[in-house]
Amino acid sequence: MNAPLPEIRLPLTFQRLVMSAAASRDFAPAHIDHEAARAGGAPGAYADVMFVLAMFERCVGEWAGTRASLESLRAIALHDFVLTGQDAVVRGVITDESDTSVTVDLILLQDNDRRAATATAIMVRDGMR
Amino acid sequence: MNNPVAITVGAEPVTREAIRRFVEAHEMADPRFVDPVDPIAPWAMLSSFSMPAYWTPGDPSLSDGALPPLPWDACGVPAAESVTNRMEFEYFHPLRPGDVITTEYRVTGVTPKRTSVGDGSFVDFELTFLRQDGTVIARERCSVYRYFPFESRR
Repeated sequence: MNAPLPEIRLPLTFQRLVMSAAASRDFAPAHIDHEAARAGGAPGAYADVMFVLAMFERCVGEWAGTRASLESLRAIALHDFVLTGQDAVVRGVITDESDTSVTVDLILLQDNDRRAATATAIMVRDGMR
Repeated sequence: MNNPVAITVGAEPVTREAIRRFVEAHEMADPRFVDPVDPIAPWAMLSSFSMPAYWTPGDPSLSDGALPPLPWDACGVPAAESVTNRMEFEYFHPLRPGDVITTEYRVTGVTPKRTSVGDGSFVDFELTFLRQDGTVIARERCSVYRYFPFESRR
């Protein structure tokens, strides 16, 4: 238990933020415009929840491969802005494991280990659903 | 189960092209997303495929700063601002090309609360996602704080 998954790291440039927003169809100004984000109290344009979910899905998906599928994401909490100009780093730790499922606690960090988001993923071993 | 306060239909069906663009933007290497025979979409795309259109013929021109066209206001709890503070998803059947996603929004609880940012209520939603054959493919539960910021109170 408490075995770590391989870390996921993705540089979140402003260009990638715009690519992400377009791919998600989330054109909320705070996700594509620094000024709009600052007007709302953020330090700058920030990623939306779909970006966060994609990073969590990458972490558990790239570790599991075709051995298991994502059954649920629970206790998703957004603690701070996911900002451009910094890497988005996801770390996962296995907290429970059985013959049918694996539970992974996930955290998305940015510069200086600033905690931006957390969640718990339940993976179901393929063929056990 | 109570009646939905809103029902929406995604503007676009799931397509290989949309999956490719999303996988590209987020560098997702899972081979199931690009399977040449039976690809599936990342679950992170669920909100994208369930999102209605920003504009359709006959609508007024889209205003600058338009927000994603999601029906949170249908809950009947007035607010100047909304922020999602908790969410969870259960996934039942993968998204596949051709799927068209209908979403049923239900309110499961309203808790008035004054916080550091304003006066408002925590509204608990349950979203049920169905594909075109009526199969429930996923469910989301989230809590949205709908409030009037202190500085904007009239």
